[in-house]
Amino acid sequence: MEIFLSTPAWLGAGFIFILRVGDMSLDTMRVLMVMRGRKSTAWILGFFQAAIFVLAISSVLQNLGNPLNVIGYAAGFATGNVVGMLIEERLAIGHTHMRIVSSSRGSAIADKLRDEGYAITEIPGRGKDGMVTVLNCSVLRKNVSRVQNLINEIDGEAFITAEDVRPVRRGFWRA
Amino acid sequence: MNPEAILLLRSAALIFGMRVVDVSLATVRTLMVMRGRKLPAWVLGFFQALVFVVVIQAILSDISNWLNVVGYAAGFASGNVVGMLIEGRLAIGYTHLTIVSSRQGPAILDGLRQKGFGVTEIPARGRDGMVTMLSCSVLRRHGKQVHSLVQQVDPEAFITAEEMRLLQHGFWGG
Repeated sequence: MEIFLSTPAWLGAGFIFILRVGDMSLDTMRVLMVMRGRKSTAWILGFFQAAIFVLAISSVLQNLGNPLNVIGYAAGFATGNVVGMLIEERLAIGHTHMRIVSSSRGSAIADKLRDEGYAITEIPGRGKDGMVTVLNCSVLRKNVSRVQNLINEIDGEAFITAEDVRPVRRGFWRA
Repeated sequence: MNPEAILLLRSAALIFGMRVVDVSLATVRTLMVMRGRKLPAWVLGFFQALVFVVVIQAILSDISNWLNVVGYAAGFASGNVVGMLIEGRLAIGYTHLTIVSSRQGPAILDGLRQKGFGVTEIPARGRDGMVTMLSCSVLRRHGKQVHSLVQQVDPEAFITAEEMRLLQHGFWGG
């Protein structure tokens, strides 16, 4: 039990924890880049992630007498994963397709969004209680919450869903 | 069998079992990451890494036992599949279904609305004339139910599904 009182053991575990946070946040971002088809970014992230991983796993395996190392390794892994998600959300790289269904304010929403420079396709549809407007709108991911706020200014009842898309070609992307 | 062989088999089986656990945790964790669920991702990640260290240590300490290597690889592959099964059973999230039917559009629509699903009907044109396109957002675990409802009415209907995120509102039947 004297290991829990030894400063070098805690330092070693802390070092492994930090390495693992670094490599897992890179790895999480890499996976999300792969899903979006960003090849060069994925390569660079993968290179550094693998380099740090080798360092971390070898320091754990060289010093198995220290259970703190194993805990540091696992906690670093889990924390790095969440850090990577936070960074990726902050960067908000990519495109999102938003589908908006509004029962009565469809054309007003379309006008408002067009005034703001977003590209909208209006599709007439029929819902349970009569005609509705379906709006298709592809935006940069970082603009999603702005668009949602604009819609809510006009119709707080609108039904909005979002999915990640890859741009195939062209389109109008409000800067 | 001699005791030594039993010992070798046992360590291989142990490695296999642990690998199944760690990789299925990893698979479920990846799917949580894709949906932005941070707390489950942390918990799954912690236990996954813990099990992984134990496994990698066991296999590296006796790499000459090729049964261990086979157990490691088979565990990885099985864990991957097990993770997918678990995730399919959990069915967290939402699905957007697009249903195209040439003649039975209104009948499908009625069937789905009776069950409480929210459906938007969009008139569209196919190769042989007008068709009905139904746009329907459901909870992922209701996907199969909607699928069989549509199949009962029109086995010819064309159905696609894509995963989506909900931003606000909507009707969720079941």
